[in-house]
Amino acid sequence: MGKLLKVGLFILFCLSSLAGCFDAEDIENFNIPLIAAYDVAENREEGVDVTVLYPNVAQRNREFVEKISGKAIGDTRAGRGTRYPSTLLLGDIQVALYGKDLACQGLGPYIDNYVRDPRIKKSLFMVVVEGRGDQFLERAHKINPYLGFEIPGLFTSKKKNQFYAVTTLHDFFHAVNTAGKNPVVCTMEVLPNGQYRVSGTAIFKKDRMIDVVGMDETIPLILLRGEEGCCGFIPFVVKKDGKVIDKGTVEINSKRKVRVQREGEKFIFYIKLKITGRLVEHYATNRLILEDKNCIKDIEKALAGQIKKEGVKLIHRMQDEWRVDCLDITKYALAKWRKEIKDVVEEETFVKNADIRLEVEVDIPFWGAKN
Amino acid sequence: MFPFTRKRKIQTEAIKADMGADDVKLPSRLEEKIDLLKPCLAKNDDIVGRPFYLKGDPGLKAYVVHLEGIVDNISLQQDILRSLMFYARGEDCKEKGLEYIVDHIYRNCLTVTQIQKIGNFSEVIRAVFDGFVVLFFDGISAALSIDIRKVDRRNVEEPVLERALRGSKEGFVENIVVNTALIRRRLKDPNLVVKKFTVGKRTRTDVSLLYVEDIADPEIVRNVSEKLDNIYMDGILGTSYLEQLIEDHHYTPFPQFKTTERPDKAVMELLEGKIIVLADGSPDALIIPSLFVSFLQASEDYVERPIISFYHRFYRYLAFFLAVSLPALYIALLSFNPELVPVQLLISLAQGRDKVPFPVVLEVIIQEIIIQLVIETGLRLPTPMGQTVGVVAGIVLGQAAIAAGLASPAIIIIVAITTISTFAIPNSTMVLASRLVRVFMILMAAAFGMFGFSIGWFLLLVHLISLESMGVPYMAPYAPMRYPDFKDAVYRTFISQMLKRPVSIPVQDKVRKRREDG
Repeated sequence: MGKLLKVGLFILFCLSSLAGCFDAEDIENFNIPLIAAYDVAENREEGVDVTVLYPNVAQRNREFVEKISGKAIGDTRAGRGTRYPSTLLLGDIQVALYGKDLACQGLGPYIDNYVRDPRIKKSLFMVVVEGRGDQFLERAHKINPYLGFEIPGLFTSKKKNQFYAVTTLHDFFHAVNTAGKNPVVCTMEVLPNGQYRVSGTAIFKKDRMIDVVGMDETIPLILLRGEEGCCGFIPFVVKKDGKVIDKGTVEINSKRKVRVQREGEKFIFYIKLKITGRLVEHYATNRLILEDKNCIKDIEKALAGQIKKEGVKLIHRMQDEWRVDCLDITKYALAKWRKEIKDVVEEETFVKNADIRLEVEVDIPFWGAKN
Repeated sequence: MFPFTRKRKIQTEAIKADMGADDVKLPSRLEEKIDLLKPCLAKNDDIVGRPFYLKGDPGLKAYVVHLEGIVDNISLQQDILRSLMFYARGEDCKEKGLEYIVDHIYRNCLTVTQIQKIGNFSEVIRAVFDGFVVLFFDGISAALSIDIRKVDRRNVEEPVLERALRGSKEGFVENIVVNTALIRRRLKDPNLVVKKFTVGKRTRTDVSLLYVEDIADPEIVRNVSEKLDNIYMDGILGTSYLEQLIEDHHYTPFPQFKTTERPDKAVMELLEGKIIVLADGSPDALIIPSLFVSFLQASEDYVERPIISFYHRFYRYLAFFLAVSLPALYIALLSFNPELVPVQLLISLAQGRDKVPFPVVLEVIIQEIIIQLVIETGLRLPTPMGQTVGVVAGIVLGQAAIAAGLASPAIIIIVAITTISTFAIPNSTMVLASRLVRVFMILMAAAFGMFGFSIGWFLLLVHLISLESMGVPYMAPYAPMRYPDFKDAVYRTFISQMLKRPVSIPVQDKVRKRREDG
């Protein structure tokens, strides 16, 4: 008995020295940030404004916003501690919004605190806001009582919606720290009436935003990047002799295949998009008999041409304007010739001089109940 | 050696010495025998003594002693007294001597089967208090003890704690003879051995050890027999006493021997090489040795299809985990590691707790105390009243506590799930163990959060692995790993594929079904 007691006391001593009930804090004492917005400080020369959206536990149906300014993110947390009694529960942040100006400066310093804290999940979504993040949150939460759940919902249910970039903290951090990779981040805007929407995609050169493309260019960008499980609705127009004979929408799934060849210092990338889809609607009333296979062939051909045209345009823009690999194709060259090219893939000339060839194949096997 | 062990040894030696104190040889003369009995007769009004004469010229003086209400009066009158008074041949005694009369009566007069010759006074006393009829004859030092006990007993009914939807509906009763017969009826193997013991100095409880001679491990049989022989208690009131007296580890909350109320289950265990111990007065049987996995198995597992059994067993394992862990997890997650809770659930929990004045730990402990009181009350009260109290406590008290802001809705759900899970464990002793271990887990989580919860489970597993049931590792087939026994652990394979007996239990005959048996 004595031995058992001694062992028990020893274990208890070891445990009590490792952790303690002093760490306990019940959940109702926490403020749970759902969305945090980061902007260049308005009232300081240097620093950051952090605006945080919390669910209001007491009122149950409203969310509220806190804005704190500081020299750095840690400084804002310290400043918050002098004003609010509740503790921050950082582990449940769902979305980090970054103002456009801050994104142009580079997001590296502003994701560092997230990456270091093991409590923060690396699957939090990153978004660049057209304008300022604080204004976005303040305007949007006034008419959307559940903004803290609606915005993350946009990214978790993207497979059922449209083509736009879904970038998590992990994706961003990985792209920034991997040779040849550059992240793309979804952009959002808030309308004067408080409604918000996805507005396009921010193109990054490592952690610094260099341009923003609209939704028109976002679709080919996402298709060319070969995002996993990429699907959505895409409109088409069929023309014959310059005259529109059909138009409609196809719900598509896309798969990308990339092959790379090297001719001396020149790299040739073959991107093949294999798109399969379901005809959602088409308006050619005189061609409603869907047994006419040519109709579908025409749609497939028109859609392939349309996607290829937009894709080629985007590739040219990437090579001429941005000069960064935003299509995530450099990794295929690195896989073959890593030792030789690992130092040059980050150079602008690598992308500019590459020959990127696009091939699009569309197959619409499902076209309705008459099938 | 621990001090209390020393004390127990001294105590048992004293009892042992006391048992041999009245060992006096019976005198020949009937009057002297009656004189010896007089102190007992004077003290106990339920001991009946009746003098009579055996038929003959002259008739032989005899005396019958028995306990009132225990012996079968009709059998006493018709099979013993009538035979002796009208048909015994007293004349033969003259020719062949008085000592011959006992054999003569045994062979020619009495129609009852269980008759024993006894020669000591202590044996007489034991026989009388065991419920036998004792016959004394004048001039003969030997006495006859005759077993015509007839005790009112319960009919064989469906077991209360081990109900099964399919399979046998018979359960053990309080009578050891009936219980042995229930097993014998199912297992007609001549190798089934029933070894009888009398345990308890004062209660003199009948205990039977049952095993299949060519299957059970002789070492375990010897161990159990020795332990039963070495019990020097004055009172053994059932298998639960025996369980505590022969188990290896006294400080664990976990039962080391399983009990069953079902004869079919007992037979199944006998066929796996285990030993069954029955005690008079107990409507259940001890299964020796027992493994942890067996406490989560039910007899209907072998009646249902394997995939269905697997499904049920999976839920029993889950129930054990929830019964032990759920309140502790609630504390750890809400007070220490809320990041691990999905955000929508977290907000919902926070909203529920917003008006509660107690910290999470205290809230859980209060609810745990209340639910334990409700369970205890429900068990003690008569069944209809117990059910009413359960419903009132469960619904009304829970709702009132939430409305008064004394408890959050989540804790009511947690406690309800925990309680339901507790009673999904098929063995009642394991249910009690899980309730106690839950308190330990709550304290660990309250002190150290998820870390404490993990350490708690670690200590629990270490403890379980260190246990043995009559020398057999308690956590087998998981620790030590016995891969062949996995076919009847969480998943149960087809009965046709169970060709060998479990390797976790030492047996002589490892093969259950030979191919040539068909």
